[in-house]
Amino acid sequence: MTTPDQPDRPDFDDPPDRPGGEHRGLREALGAWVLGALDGPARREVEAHVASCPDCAVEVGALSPLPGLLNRLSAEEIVDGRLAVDPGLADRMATELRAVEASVHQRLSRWRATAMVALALAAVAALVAGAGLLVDRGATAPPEDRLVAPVRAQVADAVSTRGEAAALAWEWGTTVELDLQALPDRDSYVLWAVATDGTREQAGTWGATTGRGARVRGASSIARQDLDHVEVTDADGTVLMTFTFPPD
Amino acid sequence: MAGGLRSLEELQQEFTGPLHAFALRRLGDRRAAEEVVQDTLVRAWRHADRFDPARGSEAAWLFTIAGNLVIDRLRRRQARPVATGRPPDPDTTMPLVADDAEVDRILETWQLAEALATLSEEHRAAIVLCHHRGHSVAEAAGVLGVPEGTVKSRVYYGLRALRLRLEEQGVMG
Repeated sequence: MTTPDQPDRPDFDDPPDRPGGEHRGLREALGAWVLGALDGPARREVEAHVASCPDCAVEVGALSPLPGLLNRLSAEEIVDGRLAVDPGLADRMATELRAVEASVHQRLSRWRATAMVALALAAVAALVAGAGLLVDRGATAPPEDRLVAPVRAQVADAVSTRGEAAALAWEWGTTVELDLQALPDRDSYVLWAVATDGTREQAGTWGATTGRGARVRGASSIARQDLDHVEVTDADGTVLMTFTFPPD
Repeated sequence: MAGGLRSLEELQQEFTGPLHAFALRRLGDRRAAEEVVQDTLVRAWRHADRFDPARGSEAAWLFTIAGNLVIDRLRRRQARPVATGRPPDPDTTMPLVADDAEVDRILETWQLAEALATLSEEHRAAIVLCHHRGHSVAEAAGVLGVPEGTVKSRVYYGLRALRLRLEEQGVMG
């Protein structure tokens, strides 16, 4: 953000038929006049000049939309420039978005690999089924039907938690799979599914592990298209982290 | 991606700033605003096939997604503690759909903020004192410890520079 300290001086050559000093001095008062910041005598002097100086009248016309526009921002927003883009933001965003793209592709291929293994196992199981073994059919949802959301910490000691939740749609509701590392230290954890209408359903619970990691599968009768987000709380109901899925 | 949406990179280039300002003004939290920008772009990109140019501009679509993400966050702030299931305050959780007129206004306000950021601090301070704070030139001169003529000149050249930037951005003709 460069700050030109050189004001772009306008080309106001003094009109030959007017005393130059007066025109110049009053010209610079036009900004304050447009903002209504001149006291009585000074204001009247500028008004009289503008009425007789077409140049300054044009200038007033050019400046007069600005006060209305300035009202859209608060004094604080203007003074600290907080709304202007932080130059690092676009770079950080580009890096993060690339990472998201990469992880989506990676996850899809990983899931395809898992699905292949599952199919192979199912084929083996189908052979074995003739020998009287039970086959768990339909345990794998198709890869494109898996929504994934990254973990978002809601308490300070969940900030280092890594991982994601996946939501799989079924006829009867939704399966939620968590894969988390570095959980905050608690005795037990509860997985909740929260519907867009605010309905909450406990979808699973588990206890602390020594490695502070968890691979958990929970289930809820909330249909996935009605699922707003899932969250993990501790036994007291304090939300530790949330996972918000992209729209179904 | 289908649906006539431009690439993620192009969207990011064009909308990171306006989306960030939009979210920041509503959430007041820089980091949360950054998350909203990122989530907005990711959602738009993942669901590009749902973008229908016949139903509104790309910008309106993005700001609708961003608006809803902002609402989600405001709701979540109110919704803690969770276990009670207390309904959120409807005032801050009205669903938000951006139409093109509203989006134009959001973009314009952001361009205004960008243009103001290119002015010198002295120019900004003089404008804010005389406009937002309602000071007269004499009062502003007292606050800043400079002669009245300096305040007038800072306000004037500040406003001129602002107008020039806005013209360059096409906000003012």
